Amino acid sequence: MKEIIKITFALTISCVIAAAAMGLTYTATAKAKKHNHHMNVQNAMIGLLGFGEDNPAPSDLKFLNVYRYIVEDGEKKFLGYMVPVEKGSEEAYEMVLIDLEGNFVEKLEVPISAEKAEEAHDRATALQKVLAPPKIFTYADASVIATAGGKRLGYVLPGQFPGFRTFIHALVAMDPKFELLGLEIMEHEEDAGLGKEIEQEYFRNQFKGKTYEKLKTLQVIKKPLPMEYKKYLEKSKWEDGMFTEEHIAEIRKQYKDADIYAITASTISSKAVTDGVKNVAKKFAYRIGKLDSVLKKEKIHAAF
Amino acid sequence: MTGTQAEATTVEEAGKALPPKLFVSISPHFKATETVSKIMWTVVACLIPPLVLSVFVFGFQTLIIALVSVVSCVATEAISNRCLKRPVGTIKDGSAVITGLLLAYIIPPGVPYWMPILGGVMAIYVTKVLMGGIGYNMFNPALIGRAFLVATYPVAMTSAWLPPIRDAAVFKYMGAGVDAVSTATPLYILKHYGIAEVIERFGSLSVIYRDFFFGWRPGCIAETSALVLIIGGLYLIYKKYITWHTPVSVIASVAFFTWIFGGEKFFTGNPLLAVLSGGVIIGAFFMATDYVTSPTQVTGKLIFGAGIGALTVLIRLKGGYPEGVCYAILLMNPLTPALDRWFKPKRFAPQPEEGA
Amino acid sequence: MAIKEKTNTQLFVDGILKENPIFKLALSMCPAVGISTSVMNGILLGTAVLFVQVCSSCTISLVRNYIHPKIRIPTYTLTIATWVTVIDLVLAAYVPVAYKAMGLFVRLIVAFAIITMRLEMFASKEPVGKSFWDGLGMGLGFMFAMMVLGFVRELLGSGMILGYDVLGFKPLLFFVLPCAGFFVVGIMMGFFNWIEVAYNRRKEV
Repeated sequence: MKEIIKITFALTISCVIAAAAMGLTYTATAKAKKHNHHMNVQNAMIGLLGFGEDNPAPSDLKFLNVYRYIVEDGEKKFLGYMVPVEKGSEEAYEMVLIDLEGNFVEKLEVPISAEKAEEAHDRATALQKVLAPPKIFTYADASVIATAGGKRLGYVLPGQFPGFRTFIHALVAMDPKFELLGLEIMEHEEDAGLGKEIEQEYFRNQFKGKTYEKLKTLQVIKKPLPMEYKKYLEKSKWEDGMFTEEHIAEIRKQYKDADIYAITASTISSKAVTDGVKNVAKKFAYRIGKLDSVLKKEKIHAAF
Repeated sequence: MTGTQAEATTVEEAGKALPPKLFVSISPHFKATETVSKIMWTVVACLIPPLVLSVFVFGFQTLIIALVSVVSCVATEAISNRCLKRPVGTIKDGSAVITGLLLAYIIPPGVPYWMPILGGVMAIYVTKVLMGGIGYNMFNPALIGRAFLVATYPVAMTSAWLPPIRDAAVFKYMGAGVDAVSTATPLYILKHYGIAEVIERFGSLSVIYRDFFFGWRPGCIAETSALVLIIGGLYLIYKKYITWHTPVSVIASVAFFTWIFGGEKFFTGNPLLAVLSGGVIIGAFFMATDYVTSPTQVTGKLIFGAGIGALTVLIRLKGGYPEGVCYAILLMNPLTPALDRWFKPKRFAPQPEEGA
Repeated sequence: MAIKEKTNTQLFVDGILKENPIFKLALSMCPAVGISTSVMNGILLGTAVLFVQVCSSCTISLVRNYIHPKIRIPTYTLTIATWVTVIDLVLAAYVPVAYKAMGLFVRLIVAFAIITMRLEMFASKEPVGKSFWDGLGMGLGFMFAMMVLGFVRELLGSGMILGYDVLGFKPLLFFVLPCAGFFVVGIMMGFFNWIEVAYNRRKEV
């Protein structure tokens, strides 16, 4: 008995020490980690929209978040979009409730500042005030709309889909006509050397420039990636004079409607990404269409 | 029944060679005229007709592939045995020749000529010599060679099929780039496009059965003619080198499971097509009956065969590859020792001490 | 046979060669097989293991007199897990570039046999200094083995070394696949044993 108590005690102490060590590190690093993550996402989004060193982003480039919530009111279910709106010179948020058929239900002002809106916790507190029980709301996802000079440049959609092991987190960028601008894999745990190749340019860039029509039927094919196409896809490895303008146009035309070439020996990961991207893009295109028509009808001046 | 009869005859035959005086020795007590190498060379002889036929179906290069494969297997065995200071004479027992032939038979006829060399090295050196030589390998060497090639050159190994030649122009494919003429195997079409497309490409069902049975269809060398392979296999059974249990159980179980699961609804599959296409026949008669890597007892053999059939159908219907015989046999191979242990033959004598 | 006290240098060198975790002790084979598809992967995983091994070895060695013998293993696991978490967080916060490359590998380490084994066999009995050198040797030995495996597999599998195309074609795709990991580990084990035998024989002569 004494022995057991001793062991329990020793183990508890060890756990407490370990937990304290981990907790301390977490508190010490949380802020920097978050900042890094934020910068990472920001840079990825800028890159996805096609801006870079030789093509600097416009100074008034803005990323506006639209948060989607599922709101339940007793038996009824609504989609709630928390939309940034223009109110004079200031930015504010409004919650637009839409029923499942896409009809406008109601519009609520959300008392929250633009900075705080990025924090899930702060958002929830603010929403509590306007969506009081019995209404229940749950967070679904967020989409980013990039604007510059009062025009929409494109959409960046954070996607999360099951891969070979766990969820793959990715950013999918589309232009206002829903043509794919690019894909960035943010986080994943695919096998190194096999599924990890989804990070590579030669895979990711295959999605670039696929039209919405093509996207709907996009598939994975188990054929070797043509050498020329691979070189073209690996933009960061381009050397001067490797491709002429005509050459690029030719390749682009040739592979515009091509399906996605699977990564050798990683068909499952390739398929997971392709299906995931397809899903994210298709759903978003449908939702933003509905949302836009409602915003127009109700004359809500969204910031995008 | 057949098993006991077979034993009886061998005992009788062998009994003639018995010396007049009783003596104590370790088993085998009766020496038959059959030796390992004689059996092996008979198997080689039974494997030659499909090769000859394949020259007329896919052209002359099948002969080259087979030759390269056999030579590389035999050379690998000789060189590796010499390096390991083992007797080099083992190449004369013919087992390396069989491995080479089988390897050539189960790869597409349109692969580059150097490819069987790699497969041969893998089959003989890694699968057999490293494990201790003939009798010690756990897996069928030829199948490991093929699996290695499929993993290494997935494109060539899954697309270098050739459409059969019908006008006896055997040198047709010799110089031509394989890409220009490659076609799809019936199993590939069946898997990806369904039975309707197979009928469209290869003619009505009766034409398909006839062509598949006599050998005019795209596939590997061993997939040419079911007829020739069955004759070879039956001869081996007649000579009692193999028993009928494994082949019959493989074929029956492929047919059975395809019949149940192969169609769109249960019990609507086409068992005859499933058995005639792919490597079922050569697998059943020449690979699943390999002495070293398959069970020795009747019950074990039946279970072994049924397992191969079930796995084949599973891979064909649900797996990533259109054909599954190779992997099915490889998966069942390591089960052999267990099957042998679980289904030991009954002892005739109640106590072994008294018999001695 | 009397056990001779090993010097720190010996401990260090033994970890790399004579008691190489993968080629000699045959520990932590799953990462060796799964991850060693390229030299870079080997270096990254090796670095991660090196850090965690050294840190855990020192920690356990420090508190070795206070560990209740019945709960040794849970304590080791706890220590390793703590260090893995701490390193993961610190990398994410202060070295985002390294985190992007190594994050995946660091999180894998918690269940590595080699680290637990070194804690049990060595760090729980020896002073901190020795444990440090042992941990360092073991970590480097692991890294060395992973790099050798990665080198062979990357060269043969994708015709590249450290991401640079040296062959211009892919000789044997087989070597990138997980099953080839076993294959290469086995051949390398044989190779290193052969070298050792040859070396010892020479010394005797």
